[in-house]
Amino acid sequence: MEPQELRIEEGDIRALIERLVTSGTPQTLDALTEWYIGIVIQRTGAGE
Amino acid sequence: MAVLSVIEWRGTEEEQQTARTVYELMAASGRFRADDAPLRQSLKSLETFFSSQPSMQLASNAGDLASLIERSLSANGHVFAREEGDGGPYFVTTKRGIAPVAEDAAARNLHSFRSRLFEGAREPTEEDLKAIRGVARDIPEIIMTVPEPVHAVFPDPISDPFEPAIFEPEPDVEPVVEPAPAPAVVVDRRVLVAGAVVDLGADPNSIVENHGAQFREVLGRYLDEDFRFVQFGGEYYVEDRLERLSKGQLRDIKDYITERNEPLTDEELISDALRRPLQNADYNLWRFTINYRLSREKKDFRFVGTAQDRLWATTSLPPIGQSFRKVSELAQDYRYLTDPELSDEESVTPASGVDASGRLEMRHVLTWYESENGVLPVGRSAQLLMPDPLMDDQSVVVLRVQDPQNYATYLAELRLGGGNRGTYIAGLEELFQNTLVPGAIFSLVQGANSNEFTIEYERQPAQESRLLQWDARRERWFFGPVVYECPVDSSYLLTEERVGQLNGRKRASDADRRRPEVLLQAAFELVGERGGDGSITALIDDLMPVMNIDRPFSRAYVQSIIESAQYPQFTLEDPSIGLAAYRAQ
Repeated sequence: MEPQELRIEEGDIRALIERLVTSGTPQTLDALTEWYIGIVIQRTGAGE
Repeated sequence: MAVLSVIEWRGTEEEQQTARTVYELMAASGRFRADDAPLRQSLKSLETFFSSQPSMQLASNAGDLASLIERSLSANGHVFAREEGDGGPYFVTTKRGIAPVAEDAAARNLHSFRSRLFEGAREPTEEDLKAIRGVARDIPEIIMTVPEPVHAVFPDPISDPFEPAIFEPEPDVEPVVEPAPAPAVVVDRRVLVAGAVVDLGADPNSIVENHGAQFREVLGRYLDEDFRFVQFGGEYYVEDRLERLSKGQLRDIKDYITERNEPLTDEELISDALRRPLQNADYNLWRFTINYRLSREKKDFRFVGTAQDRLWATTSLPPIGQSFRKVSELAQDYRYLTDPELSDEESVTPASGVDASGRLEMRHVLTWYESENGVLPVGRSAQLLMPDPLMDDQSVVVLRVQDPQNYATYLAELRLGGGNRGTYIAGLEELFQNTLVPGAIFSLVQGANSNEFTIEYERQPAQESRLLQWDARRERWFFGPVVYECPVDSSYLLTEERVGQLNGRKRASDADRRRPEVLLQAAFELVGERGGDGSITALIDDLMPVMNIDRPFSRAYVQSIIESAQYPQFTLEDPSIGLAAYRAQ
């Protein structure tokens, strides 16, 4: 089966915002990308 | 074993040895007990022990062994007390080697912690237990009642898994064949991210390493469109959580920059204009806040810094430096830099020095135009040295240029071109007029930060020459003595010997300045060699210093004018040495 295009879920963005606010300091796109990958992996893994 | 020395053993030598051995055994077995605690062993156990120890050599047969032990211990009655029990006689002693007295032991127990703890104790009643558990009052019936299920969760009774199943054959029903266990389902966690297939089941670190760029692209695009996020200088935060600057705070910042009359860093604005200590834990957030908020106030503020050196100016702050020409004229004059074919390749090399790793330097010969206006052209090669603007709409980057030989630092501006405007550095006129002369050879060296530079040249013994100067009051050229200590390119040095004809002349008019062929013709007439046929010949290298008095030209630009069919009065006679000729039409 062909893989589906990754959709950015609202829940992922909410988790990203929560983590950004918790950190209390602005972050680069690289740092946010690493966080986002972790969030997506956790979400897709939790569904198994 | 020090106790042993004070025990007086009695009986024959064999009996003494046996008694001592029994005492040592019992003392060893009770080594963790109190000194006066009774240590008890049965005669039978002792006999078993001795019989398994041939090395003892106490007696030749078992019958003699039991009587020997009994006789030995009885002979030492001051050490061992004898008790009768179910399993035969017992011998009791203490670690002190004194036979305990039964009455004394019972009396000691009366004062032990155990006896005192349970003194007067009784078995608790049912009521006592309820009181202990805190349920002395009766529990309301309704709480204890188990509600009836509204509907059966499981339609069939569930067998107890721990009860062995009873097999009841049903002849009319075919035996149900248990389906084979389903093979483990392999979940496909592959997704398509910016055209790349990414397996989210792989190691997270390898995903970041191999596909971080794709995720970055997708996420960056999303965040730029999501109004909840704000971005400044490549960093993101949540808009809702940023402090807002009041009108009063914005006015304070604006007034402070105006008062200092130069661009200021975000740190200075936080600490001096807003009076917030830089040591606070929320410093990074405040730095981001002030940069982001000021970037939204485009009417009053403009960003003129870099990623490392975040500088802010007000829109009313005048440009750095006071050049002879207007800012718009300078940008127009450097228009040729936007054409790659007309821009010269500057000499850009790795910088030398101990701490110059990775830095570049540009060697340059200063022209009259550059010296008078405090500018430097930024061609294709020089772009390599220049800092990148942080904002998309940024037109100026403030530079810090050091002159270490004179212990001075100057602010300058990198004015970014676009359209028909060339890129150049401005604001260096004070540095040039204090240190260098037109024709000086110097290097512009990159500093530690991207907007920091150093002007370097080899100091020479002081020289004096009569050089070209402009009398602004009389609006005439004149030659006056100038002392300089910098190395010079003699072909660019506008001395009285070379261009003395300019003495007392006026500048080229604005109309002539706009016509490069007129300036080139004047340059031929000034430094060229007149031939017999009325032509004037000159090397392009000799024309360059004169061409660069009223307007900047690159060598490629001058050569393109000479070779252009639009100007047939100019010809390139010998391209190998750059010899050109001008013939009046």
